[in-house]
Amino acid sequence: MYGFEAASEFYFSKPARQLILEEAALLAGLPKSAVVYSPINHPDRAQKRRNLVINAMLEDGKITAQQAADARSAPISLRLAHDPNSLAPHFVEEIRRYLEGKYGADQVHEGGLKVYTTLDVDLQRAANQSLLDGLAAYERRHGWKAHLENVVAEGAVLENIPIPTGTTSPRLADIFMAW
Amino acid sequence: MSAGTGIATLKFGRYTAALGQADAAWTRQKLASILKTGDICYVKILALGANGAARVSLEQDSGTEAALLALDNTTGGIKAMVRWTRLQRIEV
Repeated sequence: MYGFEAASEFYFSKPARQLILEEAALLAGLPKSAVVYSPINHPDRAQKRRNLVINAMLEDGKITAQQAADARSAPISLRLAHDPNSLAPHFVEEIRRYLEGKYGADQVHEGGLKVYTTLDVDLQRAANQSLLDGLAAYERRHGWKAHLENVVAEGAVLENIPIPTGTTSPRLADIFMAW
Repeated sequence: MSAGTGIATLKFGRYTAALGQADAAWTRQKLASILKTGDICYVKILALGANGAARVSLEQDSGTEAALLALDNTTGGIKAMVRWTRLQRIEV
């Protein structure tokens, strides 16, 4: 995922110019580490970081004290998009690297290039599913050895736990995390 | 998830699913001994009901990784490319 615009679409399903204050502040806090401050996996950390950004905006005189207070008290409310790059992310990444090397990052991200590749979408879909099924079968053959992560043991209240990652639009035969 | 007497209730998104002993037969262990309340586990989705009820099977991810590369013999072009690691599944 690249850039503010892409993050806006991913987390809030809208273009960046339509973001409201607390949403923009949340995204502004992500570049430090989108994993550590992930609003999906760590909403508490994301909220603290978001409020830090809001405070900085207040100190800089970009927003009023009232706006800051309203934004700080707002809960994190995401509208996750189904990742349009979930079919062949590694292939797409290879293409992106190749294109950036050849044409430069600006041209690739903003030049509106049309890119044609050798990827066969149907084959890629079949490959994804067969690898997933093959891995599941392999795991079963080797018996149960899961050391499961436990959200209650980590001190969380079950009712407050957000939905595990990737479960926004579950499809048949997908393998997902559940709790 | 919350584990009761022989039945484990799982949640993902707006869906809820129940796992019984038969769904975990491949583990050759008692369901109650491998799942406890609050555990995060992997499931395969078998059916999704409109009412939010889902059927799933219990899976696991012990960290096994796999990759697949399909090439067109005549051109050398990549037809399909998959890399599957634990990290990729958890990453946002």
